[in-house]
Formats: sequence, C-alpha cells, structure tokens
Amino acid sequence: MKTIRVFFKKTGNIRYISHLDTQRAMIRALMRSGLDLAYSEGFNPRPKIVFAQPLSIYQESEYEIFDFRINGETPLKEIREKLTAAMPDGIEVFKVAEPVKKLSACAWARYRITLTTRKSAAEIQNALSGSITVLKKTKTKELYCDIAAQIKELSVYEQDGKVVVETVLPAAGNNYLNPNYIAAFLADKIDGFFVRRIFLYDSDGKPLE
Amino acid sequence: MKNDRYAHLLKNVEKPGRYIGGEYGEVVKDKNSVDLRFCFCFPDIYEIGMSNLGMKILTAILNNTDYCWCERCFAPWADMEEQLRKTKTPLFALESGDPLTEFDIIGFTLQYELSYTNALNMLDLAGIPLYAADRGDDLNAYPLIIAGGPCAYNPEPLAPFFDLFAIGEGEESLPELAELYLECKKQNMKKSDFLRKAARLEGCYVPSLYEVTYLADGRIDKVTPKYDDVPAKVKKRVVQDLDKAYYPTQPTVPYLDVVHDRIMLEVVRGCIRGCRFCQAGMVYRPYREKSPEVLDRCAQALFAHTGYSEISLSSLSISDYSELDPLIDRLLKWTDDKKVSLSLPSMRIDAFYEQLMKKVMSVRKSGLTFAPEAGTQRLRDVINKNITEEEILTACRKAFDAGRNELKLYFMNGLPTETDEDIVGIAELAQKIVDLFYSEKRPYRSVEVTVSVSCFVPKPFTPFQWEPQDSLESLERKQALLKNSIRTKKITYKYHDAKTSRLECVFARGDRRLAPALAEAVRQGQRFDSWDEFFDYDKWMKIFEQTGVDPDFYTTRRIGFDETLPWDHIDIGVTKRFLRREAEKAYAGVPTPDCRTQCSGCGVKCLERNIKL
Repeated sequence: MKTIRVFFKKTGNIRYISHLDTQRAMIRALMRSGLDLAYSEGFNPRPKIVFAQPLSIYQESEYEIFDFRINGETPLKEIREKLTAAMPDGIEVFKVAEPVKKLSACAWARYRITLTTRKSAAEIQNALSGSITVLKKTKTKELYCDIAAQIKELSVYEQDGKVVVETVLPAAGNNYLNPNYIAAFLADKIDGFFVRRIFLYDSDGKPLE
Repeated sequence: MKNDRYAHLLKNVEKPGRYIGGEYGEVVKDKNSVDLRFCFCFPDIYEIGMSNLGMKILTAILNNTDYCWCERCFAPWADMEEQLRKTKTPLFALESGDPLTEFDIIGFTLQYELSYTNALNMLDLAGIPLYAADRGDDLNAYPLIIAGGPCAYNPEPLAPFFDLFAIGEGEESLPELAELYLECKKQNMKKSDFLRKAARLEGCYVPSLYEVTYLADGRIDKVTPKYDDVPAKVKKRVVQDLDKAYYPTQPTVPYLDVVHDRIMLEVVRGCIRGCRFCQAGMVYRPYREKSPEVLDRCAQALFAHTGYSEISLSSLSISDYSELDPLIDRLLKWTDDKKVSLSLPSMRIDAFYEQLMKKVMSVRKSGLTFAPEAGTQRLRDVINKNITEEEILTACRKAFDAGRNELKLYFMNGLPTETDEDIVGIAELAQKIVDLFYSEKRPYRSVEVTVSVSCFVPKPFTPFQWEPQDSLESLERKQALLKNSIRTKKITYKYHDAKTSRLECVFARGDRRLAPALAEAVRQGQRFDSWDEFFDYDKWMKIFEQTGVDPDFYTTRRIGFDETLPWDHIDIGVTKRFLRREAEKAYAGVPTPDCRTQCSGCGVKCLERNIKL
C-alpha cells in the first residue's frame, strides 16, 4: 500500500460545487477509476482520501491536492490516465506523484482576486495599505479583526483592463485566511470579484509537492 | 452547462450546484443537430428529482435517439426563484442553460399531488401561460406541455393546464409521441390537429378532447369524448418484457447530496400483494420480474460508470422477488470485493430471515424498517396486509439476535373501519417489541423503536377509492391518543401533519373544477406544499373558498359505488368491479391471497398474457 498525491485544477462551473460535494465526487471518481484502492476499516469502508486544503465554493484553483492510498504497484502514468478518465468536467489532473512532504506542511496559498471595479489599481492598493479590518464569523461568535498582519504578500496590478489583487495568505490547517475577506473589505469599492487559487506552498514558501 | 451566463444569479443563492448541470454523465448534444428539444421537468428541488428512477429512464431513452436532446429542469428553491423574478430571467434547463420556451416539448413527472403548484409555478417562471387554451393553436408558439407519472392516473385537477398526459409506463410511448410530434411539426400542423392524432396513440390522454358534465348536486354526470375517433377510455401503457426494456447504465451522477445517492436497480415492477390502500400496488400491475443475469450485468455497468458504493434493490416488495437469493449471491460475488453494499428497502416482515440479513450486512450496516401499517390483526385483515403479530415479533427477534437494536415501524391512521382500539394497538405492538428486546441478554444495552405514522389518504384506483377520509379533528385526536398510549422513551413516535394529508386527498381525488384553485394558489405564491416551511393550510382553505371549492366534497364524503369518478375514463387494467369486490371484502375483514397463491381476477389478465408470477 502506498500514498499517491494527485494535483488538479478546479475551474469553470464546478466552482459552484462546495468542498464537501467535491470531495464526494473525487471519491466516486476513484471508485470508478478501476484502480486498486485501499479502503478504510469499519462498517463503512471508504477509499482513504485526504485533501491538502479545502477550497471555498465560488473559487477556482490551479493547484489543488489530494492524497489517496493504493494497493500494489501501478505506474504513475497509468494512475493519471485512469483518474483523468474518471473525473467530472472542470477537474483536470495535471500531475500524479508520490508525496514529497506531508500534507500538513501546507502553509500558504497564493490567490488572484480579480475585481470588477471603477477604481484604479493604485486606489485599491492604497485602500489595502493600512489596517484591513473585517467582520469574522465563526460558529459561535462574530468579531472585528485586522487581517493585515496575516497577509504574507500582496500586490495590486491591472491586467486585461481589470484590477487584480495577488496575495499570499496563510493556508494551514490551524491558520487559514479566506481571500474573500479582502474582497469583503473592499466591498464599497467593487461591484464584484472572482477568486482563483494559484498555488499551495509549504512552510518554506515552495510549491507543495 | 458549459457557459456561465447565470453567474450573477448563482452568486446569491445557497446551493448554486442545483442549477448548473455539468455532472459526470450529463448528456450534452449540439442543439443545432437535433430535431427535437425536450425538457424533462421535475416539480421539486434538484436533490429530490435527481433521485427519481423514472426520470433517469425516460431522459436516457430520449437521449438515446439521434433526433432528440432531452435536458433537465427542477423547481428552483425560493432563493433562486427570487433571483429569477427580480432579474426577469426565464427558467432554464441545466444542460444548455436555454430558457424553457426554446424547447419543443416540456414534460413533467407528477410524483405526488403536493407538487402540482410547483409544476405550474415552473411554467409561470418560464413565461408560459398556465392554461393550455391561452397558448394558442400554433405548435411553434409555445412548447407542448405534457405530464406523466403516478399522479397522471387521475390528472383531472391539472386537465386545463396540460396539452396531454402520458398514462402508464413511458419507455415506449414517449418516443412514439415525440416522433408523432416531429412529423406533425414538419407538416406545419395545428396543435389541435396534432393532439387529435396523439389521442389515438395508446396511453395518450388529451384532456381538451373530453367533455365533463355534472349533476345538480355537484357529482360528475359523465365524461365523454368530443369526437368519434377519440377513445372513450384511455388505456395505460405497459412494457411487456422488462428484461428487454431499456435500462440506463450511464446515468448522470450528481455532485450534491441527493436523497437516493446510490445505484438503483429496478428488480420488479408491480406487486403481488394487493394491499387495499396502496395505489402503486394496483396501477403498476401486472407484476413483472427481471432476471438475475440481466440485473447483475446492469449493476456491474452501473458501478463502473457511477462509482457509487451502494446498490439499492428497488421494488414495491423485494422479498416477493422469486429469484432474490440467486440475485444476491451473484451480486455478492463482486460487491464485497469492491466494498459496495446492498440495501433491500422494501423487505416484508414475514420474509425476513437471518441468512439473507447476514449476507447483506457483510459489507455495511443499514437501517431496518418494517411496515405493519395497522396496530391490530383485525385492521391488518381489512387493509389486506397479510402479516400476523407473531410474524412481526419473530422478525424483530431475529433482528435483535443478529445484533440490531434500532427498528423503524410504519403505520397509518385514519384507515377505513378504524377504532380507538386499533390506534392503541400500535402502541401495544411497539411495546411488545421493546419487551421482546429486554426478555434476553443482548450485546446492546438499549433498544430504539421508531413508530412512524402517516394519515391515510384514499387514492384513485384502489379498493378504498370510495372511502371517506377521516376528518382533521378525528385524525388529530387519534394522533394524541397514540401519543398518550406510549409509555416508554424507548419508543420514538413520529406522525405526519393531518392537514397536509387532507390537501393531498383533495387533489388525489379531485376533478377539473379544482384547476382555478391551483392557478389562484400559484398566483398567490403557494408552492413547495410538501415542505413544512412553505405549507400554508389556512391560505389554501381561503383559496378554496375564493374559488368555490368545498374540500369536504373530495375528502370526508363517502363516494357512492355507482358514482362516475373523475378518473373513470382512465383504464389501468384493474377493473372497477374488482376494486369494489375488494372493498366489500375489506368491510367483511376477509383478506385476499397474493397473486402468486391465487389469481383474484383483477382484470389485468396475467395468465392470458403469459406473465410469470
């Protein structure tokens, strides 16, 4: 039995599918792939599958990761082909490999937030240069907090006539910041936004592999 | 859909996944290369509609042709409806995203009466006039609006809205109808001329071609065809050989957590039992089985395509399937290995045995549900549920011995001839089951028996079709009586809202005079009547008052045996004479043997048709 790491893109209308539903769709794709999967024990055996970091509904991604376990020795190329054939529309498997680091090493994520706005890049940059106080909701409470200190990188530029905020935010299991907060902070300056995750990084700032 | 034309709406709804299609296995064709565009509509939310087997079969059959692209549409939830109305966006199909008005035929499946308002609301959201008469006589002006499904056996409350109803099984009739439509459209025929031709297809009921007259007291006098070439009785369609019938093995696999998120293997159609309250048991006759070979092949293909890890053996009464053991043995040869579990949702208590349960349990533990339906032997005989208390207790003991400690029991209240003794009998039976659990030392310390009680709704084409429904007051009193008769926390008591059942009864036994009430209800924003958060009984009563409908006429009134019924011109094969005979036997408390033991002459003529029971 060994662990296989699947790298995939999630783009297009499948961004309307929540993380939980996507996870179930991946399990089904594994089931129909014909690969010799390793299952969990117990009353409800399931393929063992772990995601690096959930992706919020409405967001696209160019760099998503999940691990699953397989019995025997199947060449990586064959695994990739079988998975590709079993995947739903909008999921593109671009790499299948053995894990280099643990999934828990996932620490940062790069996002591109494309804004629909009449403001210039400079104005947006300016708005984001001081404290960024947003209302954070958890299951039990709501509180205002400044997320500026959590942001590792942030730049604002124009591309194809749109203002883009590119940013690196914490994406670890115990420390995660949703890029939607940045858009929420800009709410009165924008008419809409679109989030695309570009990379997941390990704690050294290298793409998680 | 591949395009993203509704992004501005989808960002504002709770579950955008309901409206985008794009699931694995979705059928996408080039709309310019097909002759016929069909939109199959399910008048409830995506999660319910995507669980419907009939819809899976019929959409696949249409998509299996070269000439037709069949897409899907479900009732949008309130948040999406608000978005559609606010932005004046017409309701659209999931695959192409095109508005419903661009389709040739819109076909609804009518699974339950309380979805009627949803169906009409969907037409309204599509910008299509509700009344067929308001849609003109040009086949190109609006899509043809048709419906099928179990509620189409008495479609009268919806008669003025639909151009046509498909009565019975649609596997063969739907393509025939689609082809006729194409032919007529090519000839630039008027809608009325097309419908006149369609009325001659077996199983096609064109309500506008029938005249209904009434007696002074409000009862129906007669229903007559307007022309000589229109059949006086519309015969339901039946597929002769289920093994040869098309069964889809590449269904669309939803992303969302739908109600029945598993492989549904239709093992049997029809039922040999003849419970007297059960509409399905009558309208799906004759009883037909599929062979284990065909089923196993289907199941393997379905697993390979879907990746589902559960197979549900679908039938009205799975334990009556004559080849259940061979089928399960065949399936277990590969399902265990693939970690696929089997579920048998319609086991009869008397057939429940350990060996089978152990087999089925070998992969996954699933819930155990029995349906005694009534609390006393007397009443079980009246309704022809041929199970004894001893059989019920034996089955429970076996379940407990096998390590189960959760049981669910289904009952009804408001059944014909029911007395308080029968109601208290439900509590007593549940108590006996609890006591049985504690009579021996068991691996689990505690038992949980759930008693779920629904209200009896007399349905067309059953021996109880003439019965009065119990009044609201009486049903609610009996619910309280049962509640007070349960004395232990080991028994969980659940019951259905009697008001919902009353509305269901109005439409189940309704006639054409209910149509204005439905239209008015939709105008006033009534929809999702089967959802607690939307059901508004008082509003419905006001609507009935405004539109001159007396709900008691359809519910608590005893209908005479010689009365013309609103559905008398629909022929399901089972004769009215048989149903009446069964009703009289019910009053006498005499059970009827199942079809396999002895033919009771229901009129379907299985023997003559060489149908193997």
